Amino acid sequence: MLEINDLYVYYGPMAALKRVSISVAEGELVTVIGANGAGKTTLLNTISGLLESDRGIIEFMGRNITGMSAHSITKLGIIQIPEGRGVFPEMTVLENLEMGAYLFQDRKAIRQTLEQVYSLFPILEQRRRQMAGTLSGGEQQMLAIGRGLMSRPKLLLLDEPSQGLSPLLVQSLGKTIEGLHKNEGLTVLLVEQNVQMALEMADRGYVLQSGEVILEDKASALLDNQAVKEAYLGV
Amino acid sequence: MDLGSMLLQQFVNGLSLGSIYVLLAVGFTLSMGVLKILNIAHGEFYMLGGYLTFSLWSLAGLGYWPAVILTIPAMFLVGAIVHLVGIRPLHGKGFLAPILSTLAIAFLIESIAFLVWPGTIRLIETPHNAVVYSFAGVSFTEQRLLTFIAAMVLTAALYFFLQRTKLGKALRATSQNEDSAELVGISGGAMRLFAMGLSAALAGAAGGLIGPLFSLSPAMGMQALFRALIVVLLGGLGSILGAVVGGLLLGLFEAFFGGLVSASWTPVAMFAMIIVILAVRPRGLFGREELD
Amino acid sequence: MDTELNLQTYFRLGMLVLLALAIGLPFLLNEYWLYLSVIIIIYIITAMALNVCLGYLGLLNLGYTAMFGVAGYITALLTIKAGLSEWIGLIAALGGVVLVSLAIGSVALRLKGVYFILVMVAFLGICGGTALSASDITGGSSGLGRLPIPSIMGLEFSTTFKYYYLALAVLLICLYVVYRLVNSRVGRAMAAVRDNEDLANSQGINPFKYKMIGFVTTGLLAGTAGWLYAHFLRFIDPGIFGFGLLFDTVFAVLIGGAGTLGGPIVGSLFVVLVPQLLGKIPVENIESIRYVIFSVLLLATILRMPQGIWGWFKARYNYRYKMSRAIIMRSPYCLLDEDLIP
Repeated sequence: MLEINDLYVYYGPMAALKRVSISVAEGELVTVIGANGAGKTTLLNTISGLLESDRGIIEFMGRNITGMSAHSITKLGIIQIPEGRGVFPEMTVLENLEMGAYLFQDRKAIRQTLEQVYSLFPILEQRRRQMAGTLSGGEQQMLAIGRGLMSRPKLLLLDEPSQGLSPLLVQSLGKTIEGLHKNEGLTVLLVEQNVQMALEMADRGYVLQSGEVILEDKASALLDNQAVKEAYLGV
Repeated sequence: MDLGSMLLQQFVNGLSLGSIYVLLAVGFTLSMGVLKILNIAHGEFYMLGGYLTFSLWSLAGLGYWPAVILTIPAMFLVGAIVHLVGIRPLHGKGFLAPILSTLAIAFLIESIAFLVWPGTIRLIETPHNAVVYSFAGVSFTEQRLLTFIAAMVLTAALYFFLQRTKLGKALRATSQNEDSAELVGISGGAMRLFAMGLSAALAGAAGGLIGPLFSLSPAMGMQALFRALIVVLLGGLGSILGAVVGGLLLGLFEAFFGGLVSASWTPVAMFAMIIVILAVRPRGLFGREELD
Repeated sequence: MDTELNLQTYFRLGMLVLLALAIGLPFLLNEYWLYLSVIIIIYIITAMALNVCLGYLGLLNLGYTAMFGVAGYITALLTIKAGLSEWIGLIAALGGVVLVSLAIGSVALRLKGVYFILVMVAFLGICGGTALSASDITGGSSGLGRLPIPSIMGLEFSTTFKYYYLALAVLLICLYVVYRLVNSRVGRAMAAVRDNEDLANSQGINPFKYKMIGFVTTGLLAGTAGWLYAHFLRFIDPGIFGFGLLFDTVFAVLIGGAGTLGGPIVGSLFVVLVPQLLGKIPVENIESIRYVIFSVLLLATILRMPQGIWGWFKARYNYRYKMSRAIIMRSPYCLLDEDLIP
């Protein structure tokens, strides 16, 4: 579904991403793991169109989307849940969710999706009239995911969804994502620092270091990989 | 006239003046919020709107109110063109460049205005100016009342637009989190263009409304800009209600200070107010957002 | 290596030629052009002042012409009303400007971006409004006139010819001061603050301190220009606090090239000489049209040539000047002592 070939992204003279090639097949849950500053967020932002790449090609469902504007890429069905939640702080929870459905007109269908999101995250329904900025970190994360779901993603990009959340929340979040993946067949590209959780959920994984892909394998294999274990699993 | 009715008189004057400042400021806060720039040319949009209304009224022979109404979409167009020519190309090129661009545009508009409507001051005469209401020793023309109502209606309309319509919400979303807005499919470029046009339209409307009350001069743009800035500082960036309160307060202050203390020192007092506010609260009185 | 050395030598030679020209100029010009030359020099110093804030610090200080006016009024008041010597006027004017800069800077420099611009403009407005309204002291809109002509040890600079040399001397001093400042540790610190304030802070550079140094320098330069102006025209009025001077000097700095030493010079020449050319065109209202043309040029400069004329020139001939875009584009800028052309 998503094919990235030889991607280069430069910040001034520095290369944030070098020769990155990643693919995500339909229905897969692929994870990209790596330390802080490895370039994971840069990768997702480039796919989403928030950043421009300097070299390389990104293809989605056979179509070249390199250099497309962010809102056009969203239109294609690539939905990113950004790092740090990225909610609209001075809009209500409900308004935030409605913003997720910005591109759609069918009020009934929107309503249906909203109900689905509410059933997934009942607390959002509870707090639907509250200002998003006043929500706790975990609630904002749920809101961000809910908003992303409202956009009816074909490909869901998740940027470190576990960041800043309590272990309990991280677990429940993991189950939610897994559920979406297994039950709805949602294609997911998950960028994570919580390597254990990410590799347990994923089908395949890539390891990113200093902007380059240094390892690529089935998730289960990566879990057993000695280098991975030492560097990221603290073994 | 005893002190009581003098105060009341200034109060009434201040309200009608303030209502125009509200309109001026909400447009300004819109462009600041969505585009994240200080649009130095905002006051010039106000001035242009005033002269445009004047020209439509005096040259094209339109009635006053139709002239004002026509000014609004015309100024929207002006704002959109200014954005496309002078601001869009500089998007992402740093903090200073777009502001300097608006500075150049402001001077451009003002110098053209000096050419087209040299020096002489224009006043719009409307039949409403002739009708005078008297109340508790205070008199005001019908025009003042209508101006106040018109300005408040436009402001309320903007408020509902921003709160209830999809496009309005998209504008608010863009001003709160530009990246997230793009991620839900909102085109930041389109929002910025629209916000600029809308803010110019509102400023132009304010200019058109002030025509019958005060004389127009090409230099009124900069003065208007300062007032808009003060109101935004008083009421908080991005808050319409804050702009309403701030605008009315400023209008009242100007009326009271100008009428009772000294007209010539009023500008100085207002400038001093800006400095004092910023010295004490570097983000403005109600500031939450930081600009850069 | 060879080409570099050649370039440097050519440039040094060029500078000497220019200097000789500047010294010899009064013998070649008539009164009218001599007058303009003095005005140009005053403009250059004023533009240099803004350049310190805008070019070297990245601060859009739209109120700095207030210092010009404050200095002018201080010297006017002291020399006319108190009958003191014009040199005391100079010292007092500069001292006053420093105090005012420190005062307003302590508020303004703590503010971020937009708010800083706002305070400076408000400050300019206050100065202008006060000059206008406090007419008992300042003479109101008629201003103050009949300032004394400066003299040193009996030699009076009573003709434009002589005043030119006074102005030139002051200009050379100012140029030297700015050149040394920019190439010093202080100058480098200022550039660091401009390019990335947080980074500079983390490297132990106190942004506020260096901003204040630059800010006061701007004030001093503007004040010097103001003093020169007041004693040349022997007159000062509130118009000095208006947008005319402000626009002209902002324009001069940007079209000349912000952040360079040569920029303000080129820009000031442009600002004063071009209207002379325009004045030859037999069109009504040419004065108002000149503002329109300048505004368009300013816009075009910002959009297409933000490094200014001199910046463009530097980029073309100085391959060590890695920057081909000016400060206002917020890109790294390499400082002068590495450059062959300042």
